[in-house]
Amino acid sequence: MAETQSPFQIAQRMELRGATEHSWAVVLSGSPTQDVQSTGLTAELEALTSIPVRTIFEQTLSIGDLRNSLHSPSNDIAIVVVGDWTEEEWRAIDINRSALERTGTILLWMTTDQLGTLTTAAPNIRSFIGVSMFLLGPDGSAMTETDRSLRISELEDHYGLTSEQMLEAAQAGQISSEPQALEWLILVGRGDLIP
Amino acid sequence: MSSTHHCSHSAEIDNHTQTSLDALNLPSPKKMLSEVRALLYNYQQQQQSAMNNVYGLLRLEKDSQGHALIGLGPTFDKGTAAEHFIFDSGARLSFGLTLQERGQGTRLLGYRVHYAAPEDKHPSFIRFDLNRAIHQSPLLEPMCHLHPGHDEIRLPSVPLDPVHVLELVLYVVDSQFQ
Repeated sequence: MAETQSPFQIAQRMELRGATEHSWAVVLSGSPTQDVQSTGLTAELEALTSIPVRTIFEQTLSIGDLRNSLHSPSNDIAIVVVGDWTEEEWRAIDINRSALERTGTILLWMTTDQLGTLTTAAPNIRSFIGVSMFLLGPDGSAMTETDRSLRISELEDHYGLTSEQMLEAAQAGQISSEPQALEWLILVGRGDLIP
Repeated sequence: MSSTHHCSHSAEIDNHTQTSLDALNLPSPKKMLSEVRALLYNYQQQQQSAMNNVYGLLRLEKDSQGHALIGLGPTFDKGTAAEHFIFDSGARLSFGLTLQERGQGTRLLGYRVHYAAPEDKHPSFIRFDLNRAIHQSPLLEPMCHLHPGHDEIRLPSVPLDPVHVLELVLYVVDSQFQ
């Protein structure tokens, strides 16, 4: 499990395993302070499964509150951000696990240390999770320098201009309004010249 | 007909296009990327023979001022390339979507969505283009237009959510070439 996976790849694997109903999964975040919303995981899950995704934050655990949150509604994908839950609290969750059962997926957002506590204190929940554990990595779709250079070369060939000449034209307000010209400006870091 | 022919209908259409664009508010580029990726991935799951690694094909470029490019495949179609999205029909797809985040929303700056039909099929391609500015001759080049298989024929179109353009290509255009 040492290999990281992008938010899309995690959503893809959950969907392929049919793990979007009645299931538990763990996503290990890079750090305890990482904000789940900023990772894109929610957007990827929603886009790929067409199921609403909700984040539940429980810094200090109340099983009653958690149960209520998980059942209102009970058919979406619930990302539970695990707080500073103690071994004792995990044991209580493990005993009361049937109260948490729901139609939709429960996705526990936690760190490696918190996973250790879960494994020790909540063996039944650990078995629900099984192999559905993912180590979150970056999105991975950012354009590489090679991608960018290839695209810029394509544009220079097509228009018969160097990027410098194109920028001079843009600064003079004489750039083409074609979508490719806009792309060119963004690729050379001058989106500010888009009229 | 002279290329300088004045056509009030075309000018009016471009004005409507501009008004529609001003009113169009899209999700963030990152969320758009997720939507586009999910659309292509789910479509790919239904394909029988063509294989596409959707995750590897889609690329996002963003700058510090909120401008973004979501691209797939070559910028200009010159025949099948490894970066294209390939259909079971043998057709191929490439596109570039340009966006800008502003405050709470995202504005659409432009797009090109190029569908190249399977070999020997006609029209040989269909391309949806949204330009950034009104052309001096809007009759010849409406701001938002469709190329029905000819680079110099541009039929006026309405500016669409780019995800909807891709849905049209996947579920309407390509299905005629299966």
